[in-house]
Amino acid sequence: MMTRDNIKRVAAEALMLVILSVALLLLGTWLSSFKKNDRLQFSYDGRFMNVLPADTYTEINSSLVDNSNEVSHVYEALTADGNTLGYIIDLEVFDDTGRSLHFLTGITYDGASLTGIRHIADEANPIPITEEEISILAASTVGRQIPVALQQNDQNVISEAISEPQRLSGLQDGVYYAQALEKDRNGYIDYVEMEISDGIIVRVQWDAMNVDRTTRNRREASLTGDYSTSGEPWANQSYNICRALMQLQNPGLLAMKSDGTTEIVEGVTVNIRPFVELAEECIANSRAGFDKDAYMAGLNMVLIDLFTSDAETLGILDATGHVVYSFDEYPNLFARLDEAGNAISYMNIREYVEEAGGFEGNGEGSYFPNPDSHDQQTPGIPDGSEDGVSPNGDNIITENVDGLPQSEIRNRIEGLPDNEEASSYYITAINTSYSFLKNYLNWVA
Amino acid sequence: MRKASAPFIHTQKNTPYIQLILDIALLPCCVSAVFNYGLKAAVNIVVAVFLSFVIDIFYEQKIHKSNNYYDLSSAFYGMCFALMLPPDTCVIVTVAGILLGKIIAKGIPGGVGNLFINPAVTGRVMVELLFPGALRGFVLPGEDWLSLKGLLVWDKVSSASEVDLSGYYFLEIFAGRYPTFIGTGCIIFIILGFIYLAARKGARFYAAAGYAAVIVTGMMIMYFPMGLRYSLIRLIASGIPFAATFLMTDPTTIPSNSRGGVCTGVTAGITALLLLPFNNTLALICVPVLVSNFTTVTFEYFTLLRRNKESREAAL
Repeated sequence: MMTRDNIKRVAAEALMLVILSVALLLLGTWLSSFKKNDRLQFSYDGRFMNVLPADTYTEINSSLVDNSNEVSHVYEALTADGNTLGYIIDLEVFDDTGRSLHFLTGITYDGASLTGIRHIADEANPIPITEEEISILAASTVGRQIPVALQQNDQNVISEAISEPQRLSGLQDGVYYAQALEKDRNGYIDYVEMEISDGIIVRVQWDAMNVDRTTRNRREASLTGDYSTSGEPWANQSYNICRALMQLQNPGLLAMKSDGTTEIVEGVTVNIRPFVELAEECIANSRAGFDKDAYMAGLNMVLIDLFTSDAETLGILDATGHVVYSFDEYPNLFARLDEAGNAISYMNIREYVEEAGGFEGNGEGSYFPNPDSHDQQTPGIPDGSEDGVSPNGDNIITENVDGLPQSEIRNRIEGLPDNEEASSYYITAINTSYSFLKNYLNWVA
Repeated sequence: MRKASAPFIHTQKNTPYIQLILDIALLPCCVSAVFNYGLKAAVNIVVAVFLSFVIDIFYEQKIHKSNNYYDLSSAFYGMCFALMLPPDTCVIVTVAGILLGKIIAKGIPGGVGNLFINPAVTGRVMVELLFPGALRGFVLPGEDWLSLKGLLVWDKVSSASEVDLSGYYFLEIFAGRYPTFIGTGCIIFIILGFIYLAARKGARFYAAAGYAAVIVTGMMIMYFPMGLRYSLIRLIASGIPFAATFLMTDPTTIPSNSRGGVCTGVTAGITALLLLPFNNTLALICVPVLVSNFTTVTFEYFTLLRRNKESREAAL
């Protein structure tokens, strides 16, 4: 039988136990709170290290995440100094039947490159794809810029564009040549040599010589590894773009964008503006009958006007007969000036010669401008072809990939031949991540 | 000289006192549950205890026609049941579990004094079997402390993994700051309850000792390659300490003599070791206890009466 004293004692013990428990809980919470962030970072490390290695990760709370159907979590990857390395997007892409693929994607802050992608195989109803297939796709996307598109779509566009070659009017057969009058930042002077037969461009060569005579031409340098570019070696890209021009027969159909790149030629990621401009100059020279010999003579004429000596005398001829000289120290040499002395346009070599009334050659032929040649159709970029738009009525970039215009696509990959559907959703996951960050960071494409 | 009439009972350790000690020993776990998981846990504990009382009183008054029901075991079983629930559990599940446990373990065998299986464990196993989707509400401690909205939501989606402890530090696990059942993972408070029970001699630990000895030895052997830390974490997070301290010491359903208790505990321990690879906390807590409950009669028969064959024959 319990007495009142017993009840009092037991109640006091119960109260003491509760107080002791609360004290222990507060102490435990305080002590473990120091470890909480460590545990969180440890957990993040395990999840994200293969996607975007960083010193710390922080989850981002944003209404964009809350309102997104695909993106469930976004994490910022930081250096120890607190600088942002990039972002990790946790997202799931769905097909029409409710099947899905769950990915973690890592994207750099500055370059919009994919740093890594990881499949989280916890979908209730997954779109069939194996880890091997994901590895294959990752090999062609990780470390590259995004957004991404399947090459197959692009090939169709190229095929459409190339299947209808246009023969430019007024081309005269022969070998034509044009070179940049100023070197680029690496000291290279681009040149294009073009052969026309039966009014068709049958050979094109794009290369560059360096003002430093000990440096190899760009093509050779790229093959030996001395000159590197994004994507394939420059020599391959040069070959591809020349081949594309021979197929298209018009530099304007190369769909060069405002940043100088093109999307429609496979394997070409470099700035093709120098090539397009020099190819157009070659075509204009062809129409004017200003062949390579005339061009070289014209170049000599400029040098003589400037230095009273020709290229050979000046010692600026290389072994292949190219004049290796940059006129960047004479910015107004080729300028057309208005009455106030302001430059309104710049001439090329042929125009310089024409401005001077032509020349009487000695051994290299002569050249006198044809007054009608100026009325001929300009071989340059057709209207609307700038900024990636193809002429012929087909606007290539109006087709979009995952809601992104073609002009934003930075990488084109070959999909899985046996699993196009999974390839497509893999790409959608990357592009969805890109779109999210584009909105979140207000990126300007 | 003090005059008194028979019977001359001088001990204070009658059944209500022992049950009260057991109830108090569970208080630290209840405090930890409410502290870590908030009002949801508090509501489920209170509902379980209250309903447990109401059913017992109703049963005694209406079925046994007894008006002097005086047993605090209702609170003990109510608390034990609630402490084995995930934090985000619908209160209807709690009601169903208490009802099922009382009917199957207490009502059918004949009420107070006739228990042979633990009502809390029985109720918990029944709701797990009947409503598995409603018992997945695992959350991280400290999340939505004031929220009550989950109490009326039936199906649950776990926002935290019950068993993935790879990212937790030992201190967090020791303090129960990881997602598990509301009262089975807080080892500090289980130890506190154990100390109180031992100090007040509120329970006999023969079965618990046999159980713990087998489990600790077995786990050290099984997890030896993974190291001591891993073994300790697995032991703490398995719910086995809770089962050993509070369920294997139940004076009603576990043998009270030393031999029977140890044999029951060893049987339960072997059962738990067999279940370890399945990584199911609830099974690790409940199945060994039920096995020991069902074997109690056998062990008591062979151990309690062994020394006196005549008594055994008389018992038969």
